[in-house]
Amino acid sequence: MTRYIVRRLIALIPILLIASILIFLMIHLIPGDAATAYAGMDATHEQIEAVRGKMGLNKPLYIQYGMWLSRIFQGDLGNSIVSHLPVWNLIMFRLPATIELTISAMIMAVLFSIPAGVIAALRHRKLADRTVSVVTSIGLAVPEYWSGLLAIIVFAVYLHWLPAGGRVEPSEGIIPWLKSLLLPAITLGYPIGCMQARFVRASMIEVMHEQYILVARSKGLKQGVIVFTHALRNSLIPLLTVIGVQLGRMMGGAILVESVYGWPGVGTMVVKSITQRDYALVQAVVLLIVVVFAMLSLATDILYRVIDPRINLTEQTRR
Amino acid sequence: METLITLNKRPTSLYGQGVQKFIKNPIGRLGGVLFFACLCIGIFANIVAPYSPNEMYRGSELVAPNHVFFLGTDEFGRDLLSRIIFGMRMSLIVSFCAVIVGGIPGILSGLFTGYYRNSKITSIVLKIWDALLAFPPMLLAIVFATLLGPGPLNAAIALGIISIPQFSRIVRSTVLTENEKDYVLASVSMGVSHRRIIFKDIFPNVISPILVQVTYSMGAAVALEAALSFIGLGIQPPNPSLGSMLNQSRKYLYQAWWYAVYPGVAITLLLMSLNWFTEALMEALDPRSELR
Repeated sequence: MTRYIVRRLIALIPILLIASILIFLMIHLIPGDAATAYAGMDATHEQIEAVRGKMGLNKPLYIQYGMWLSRIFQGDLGNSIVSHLPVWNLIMFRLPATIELTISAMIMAVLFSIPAGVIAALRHRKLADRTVSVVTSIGLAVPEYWSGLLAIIVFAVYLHWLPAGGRVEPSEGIIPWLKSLLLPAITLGYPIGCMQARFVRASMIEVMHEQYILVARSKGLKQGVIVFTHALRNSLIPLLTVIGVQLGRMMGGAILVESVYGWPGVGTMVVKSITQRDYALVQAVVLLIVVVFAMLSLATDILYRVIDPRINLTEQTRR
Repeated sequence: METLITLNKRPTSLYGQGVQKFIKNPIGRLGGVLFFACLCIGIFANIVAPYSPNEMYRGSELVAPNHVFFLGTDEFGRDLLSRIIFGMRMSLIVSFCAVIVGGIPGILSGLFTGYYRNSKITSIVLKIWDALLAFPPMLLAIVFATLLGPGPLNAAIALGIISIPQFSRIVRSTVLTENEKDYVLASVSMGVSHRRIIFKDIFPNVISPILVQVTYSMGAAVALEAALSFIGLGIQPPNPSLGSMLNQSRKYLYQAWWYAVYPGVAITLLLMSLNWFTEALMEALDPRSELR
């Protein structure tokens, strides 16, 4: 197991290096001079040159890349071009709201996907199954930023049940906080839940045809026991991989959902810094998300092996 | 159909069977018809649209749907239906271009990295694609769209680049299994050139997964283009784009629900048709689907 983890970590290094080169180039290939942007519109030529020297912008590109990378390893992601504040602090200030949103969305998704997938599998090719496939195929086609707008129109503009956006701090009351969280979490979680429901359905159908289910049936076990203790546990293993990949993808969705609801997370900050051309901030956020994404998929693979010993077994017999 | 087959006494080809299976599948039929309708609307936008998409009608700003403006108007008094029709055309053009930009290099890279699997260049190319796949797609779209700047062509290039590794991976995995088959061995032992083996022998056998990937990538490109335009990176106003229309509509949610609803309906219909099309295609071209 340790050998597997080390091997995977080593395989990550070239991938992350290439990704970091791409992210580094992003800020340098964009038209417009970072030094001028940093020094301000009315800076003199000398001031701009001073900033250029201070930021190392007059050195060759590969040296600049090396400097940038070594600063990152020291935990310095640079300063925002607009507010001149350290990017790291800005991100850390916004991150909790984004994590709160993604985790709640994932909870919503799982609460929907497991029952829906199991019911669809048990009623394979019957009405319930067809209903689930219609609902999920709509869910996969509706973009989050549109379903978010629809939800605001229905629940905030017409029914006045929930706020149209923004986040309420939990310290201001648990109920208002949950109310502000509900729509964004459902909007972000719905398409993800639909994807999961399809996986749960497919793997449940497969598992229900396994020999050991037949054995359980012939022992005379009740349907409920078979479904929940025998079938469900094994059919949830593929779901785990899906969730791991989705957590990474959700960060893309979170950017959209946050900007629809004005949720004060990293996503709205990215969109705002794109419009303000604060590329230092965009660069740092992208880098951070890529690293988190890579770590998440590694963690999923490891967890997968811990939960399902059959995978290690097949690998050993192959050797 | 059956009489036709018995008369000709010719077995139907794999693709013939695929087409038959596709037509039999209700999801495939529905997706196909819906997509064809979207395509026609996009191609004949000039004829279908009742007004010019950029014509501003003074005094009819944010008018609710009525018999003059079927889907209402936007904040500048432009006809929403016409803008949606032209926005759909834009989505289709961008996604077609994205598939071409991503598909051609992706397929070539898949063929060569699959055929020359032990070469040094192959391992470097695969590393680069792995690095691109390490980004969540939305994020990669943001990176390339900021790099290239706004505009429809740049959006298409950005979305195309994202799909290169996907095309490459899907083609390569099929080529790897085809490599082992006897017909390749036969060609090699006859001394057929590598280029001929790749393009005349192997390529015809990887067309099915490519077809599925093409429709899948088109759907992904439609969704990502709209998302980019929604956050202000893709197609810029006043060009009609479904994503940027939704972005504009956010300021008027309390006055004009139609402004936020109808462009989204158009995106969803387009995406749904492509998703269904892909799903039915995948089932029709998968020889194992008979068993299920």
